[in-house]
Amino acid sequence: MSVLGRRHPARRVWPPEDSILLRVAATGAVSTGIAACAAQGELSWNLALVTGALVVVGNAVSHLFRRRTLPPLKFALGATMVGAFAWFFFTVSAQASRGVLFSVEQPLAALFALMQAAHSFDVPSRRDLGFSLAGSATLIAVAAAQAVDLAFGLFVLTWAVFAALGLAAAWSSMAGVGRPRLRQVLLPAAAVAVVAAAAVALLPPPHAPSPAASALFGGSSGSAEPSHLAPAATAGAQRRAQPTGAANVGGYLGFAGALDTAIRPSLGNEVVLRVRADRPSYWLAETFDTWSGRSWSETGPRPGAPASRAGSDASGASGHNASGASGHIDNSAEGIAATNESSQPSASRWHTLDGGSPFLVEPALAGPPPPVPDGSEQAPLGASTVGGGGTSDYQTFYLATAASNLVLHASHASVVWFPSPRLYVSSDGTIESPETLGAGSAYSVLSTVTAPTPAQLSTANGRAGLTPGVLASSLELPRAYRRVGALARRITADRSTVYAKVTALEHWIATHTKYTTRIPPLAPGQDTVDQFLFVTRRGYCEQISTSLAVMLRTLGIPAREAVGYVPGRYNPITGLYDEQAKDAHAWVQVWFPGYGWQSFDPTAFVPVTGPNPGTTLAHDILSALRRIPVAPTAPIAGILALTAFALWWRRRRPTSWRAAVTRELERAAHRAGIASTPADTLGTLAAHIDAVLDGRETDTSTAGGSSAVGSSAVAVAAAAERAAWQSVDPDRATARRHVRHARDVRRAVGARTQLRAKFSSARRSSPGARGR
Amino acid sequence: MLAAWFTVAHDSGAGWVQTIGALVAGALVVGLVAPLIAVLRLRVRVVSNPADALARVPATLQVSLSAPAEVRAVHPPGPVALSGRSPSTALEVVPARRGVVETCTLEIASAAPFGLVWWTRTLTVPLARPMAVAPRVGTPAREVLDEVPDAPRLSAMRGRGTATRGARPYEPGDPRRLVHWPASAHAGRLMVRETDRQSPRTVAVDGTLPENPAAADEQAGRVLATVVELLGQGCRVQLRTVEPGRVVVDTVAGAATASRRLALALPRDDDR
Repeated sequence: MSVLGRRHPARRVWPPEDSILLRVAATGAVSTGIAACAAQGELSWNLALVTGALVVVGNAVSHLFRRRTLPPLKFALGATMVGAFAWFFFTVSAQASRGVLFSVEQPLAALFALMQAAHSFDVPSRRDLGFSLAGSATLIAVAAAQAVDLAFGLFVLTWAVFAALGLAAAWSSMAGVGRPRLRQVLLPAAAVAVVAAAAVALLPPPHAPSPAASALFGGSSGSAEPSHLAPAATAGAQRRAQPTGAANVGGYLGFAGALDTAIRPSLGNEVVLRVRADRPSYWLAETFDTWSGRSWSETGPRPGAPASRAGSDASGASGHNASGASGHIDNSAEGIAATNESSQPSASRWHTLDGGSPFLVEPALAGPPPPVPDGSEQAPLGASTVGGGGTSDYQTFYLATAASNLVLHASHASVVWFPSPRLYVSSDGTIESPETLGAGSAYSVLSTVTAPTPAQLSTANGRAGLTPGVLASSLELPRAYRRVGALARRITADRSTVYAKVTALEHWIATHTKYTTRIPPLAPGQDTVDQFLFVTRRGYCEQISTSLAVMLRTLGIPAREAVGYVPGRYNPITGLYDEQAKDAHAWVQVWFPGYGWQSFDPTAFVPVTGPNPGTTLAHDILSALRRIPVAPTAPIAGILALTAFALWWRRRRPTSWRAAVTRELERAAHRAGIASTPADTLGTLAAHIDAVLDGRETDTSTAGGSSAVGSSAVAVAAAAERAAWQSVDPDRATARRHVRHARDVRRAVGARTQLRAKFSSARRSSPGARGR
Repeated sequence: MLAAWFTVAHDSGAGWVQTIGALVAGALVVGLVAPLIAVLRLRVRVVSNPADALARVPATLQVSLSAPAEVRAVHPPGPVALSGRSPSTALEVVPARRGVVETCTLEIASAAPFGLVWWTRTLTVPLARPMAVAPRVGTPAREVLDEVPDAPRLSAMRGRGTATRGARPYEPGDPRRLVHWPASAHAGRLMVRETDRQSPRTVAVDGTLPENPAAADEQAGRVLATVVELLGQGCRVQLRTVEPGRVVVDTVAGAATASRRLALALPRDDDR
């Protein structure tokens, strides 16, 4: 057998396409692409509705006039397309003249949508509909370029269903087999899904665009307009920072200007932001250097507009979570430490970066420069050290909810692309904006990451490099922690270097404490560190990191508290880290001369307390149930229940008139209390029923006798048996009459049984009857 | 193009673009590979075909395909037919020359399940029964016909004879109309006529064909036309043809027999 494969010649005459399914599928795919573009902000909804409607109308017109050529229509379509192209080039040229090249996507999406709408009026043949399907792929890809969450999967799924239906319908039309069967759609679709999954799994995951690309697309430092953003932040470029009154704190009170360890919000699973980064890092929000015994705060005045930070503080103090995150305040008795609400940046601590994005953060502004020691790039510090290797880390943060005005970043930020005319940079590396950002905003940060080796850190001891003010604040304690100091000295008695002491304390905490978020509230006057180290030994990141920081300070080692986000779940589809509210975290930064502030996360080693499986499961189930939206779920559940009931009823319903007769007679026998055996025929059963109706004892020999209902059970049973054995079915009216008679028999038996029961009970209750 | 797509998606960090690219790639891969699998798995069978056909005249084969596909006869050639979902497909073939066709070479094509790429496969399947393709009837050979002078036009009672030879006594079973009444009256018992039987003229036609296939077809057409003409004149035709492995000299009963004999005829008999 010779197997030769070759392509058919492309020169084919394409006849008018009659398949309505193919046309509907192509229309659906294009409409889905347009809707996806609108959902991602690439198209205005008005334009999307207009073009979507035109696509539907155009395909209908094409189907109706598929066997005719309409020269005026073709001329009009050509003119429309030329006009669309002209508009596109004019728009792009106008934007380019202003130096805004990155926002070409919107005009491009509008052009694609207009072209599809125009094209839909001239799709008489199968090949034209194929072009429509291909065009829908372009539209959905344009939308996908801006999608950062899994919700976009609904559009992709809908589009894929339409595309699979369209392709299957195209082949069915070619082969002349009419409408494709479900199997012909599902099997190839499953094969496509397998191949696509393999491709996604085998191909390297997408990574963040390089800063070079950012500069190329308009992120150059020469840009002076505040609205200019890096391309990675284009989704947010159209949604400028919103100076909303109540700043959001992302469900975590540590972002509110102070960190009160006595207050524990219940952080939920809601995604608050997504991060595209070269590598997972601890994304820093801010640091605290002043410890009061139960809360952390910052030294010195705060910068920024009152609307942002003041609102933020107010939000935190009142215990309200403006983000709508699932958080609530477990212990709101204690207010957080009051912060300085000065509306002007302090010249001593905060520096203002003007001029718009991108903002170059000079190392001198954000504290001591992070040197890059030789050989440190590929040598991670160890499991406890936060931060990865390498020298640069490019991150883009997509906000899923309104956020505070803290600019997250990994390690030391060097360049920030942010939709704000100015930024404030603290000497401790904290970056703030004068405005808060709303959901859908985005910004990018280029960080410098150092990873000194343990050996290098072991040689870095002392306090060199710190200014007296910073040194004082990073060693300051509200009182003499004698017990804590004694404990710290005992743990680090045989350690000489700072690094060895830090690791020894981490090890002790890991072996002597447990992690849990369910701790009793801190009573007034109690100290968080004392309670944690000497009473409960239970706590979460804030208690654990605070205890390490305080122990280090009692040893004379400069340390401070840092808050931010740990890397959340990596989404292989979007290539983003989904940061949930519960990913907010606190850790410790320790000063190493020559290497700057190095992060340590003692919480990572603390084992979790043994959970109660039942309680945990019940809690999780209740939480999941609470999150189910009632509005869309209830109708779907109702429809499913009705469908299940209809299927059950359909299955239970007799399939023929003989089955109906049999069921009625069996019910009648059951109601009359006739004990039947499996060997009884329907006729035998009917004879018993007739006997009961006639008031006789059971006698099968009397089968065929008349009954009180005018039609004996035996007669009906005989008709059913005759039809079953002789395969002779009566006409429909007769069959219906047999069923009706069987039902009459059943009712008569029921009435007679009730009557008999009534009489017998009356007889029992009558004195005369009792005497007889 | 897909590589460029993936590169852009990868370097721009757009995971959904990569996903959609993977879906498109999956559709293309399935659309490319599945038709090949489909044509390889396709089972084709000729369910029925006519026993006789005429050169350059379409004959219809009934072909059964295990899946919807496009089918076309390559040898003998024919137009394209779509199988659809029917159990068998009518496939026209147009034999170019006379002969006996026992197999048919078909080209089957499929683009299942998406219609993106067509794959074809050529295979030879046996016919349900051999199909004898007769030559097209040509011009009769005048020289042969002219050699049959006064060819008698036989009556409807052809072969039974009409000239009375004598009479014999009636025997049970003799037709009633053969009763010879004068002889019966003369003999005093029933007598029946005896007639002389007249044999038709037997004409031998040489169906030996030349080597050249085209000339052989032309010659076969002439022979067939001659035989048909002679048969029409009531002659008994003895046709001599060379068939595979033997030389056949036999009387032909009719045009159909002559056609089959000439379909089987080989060009020469030098080796036999």
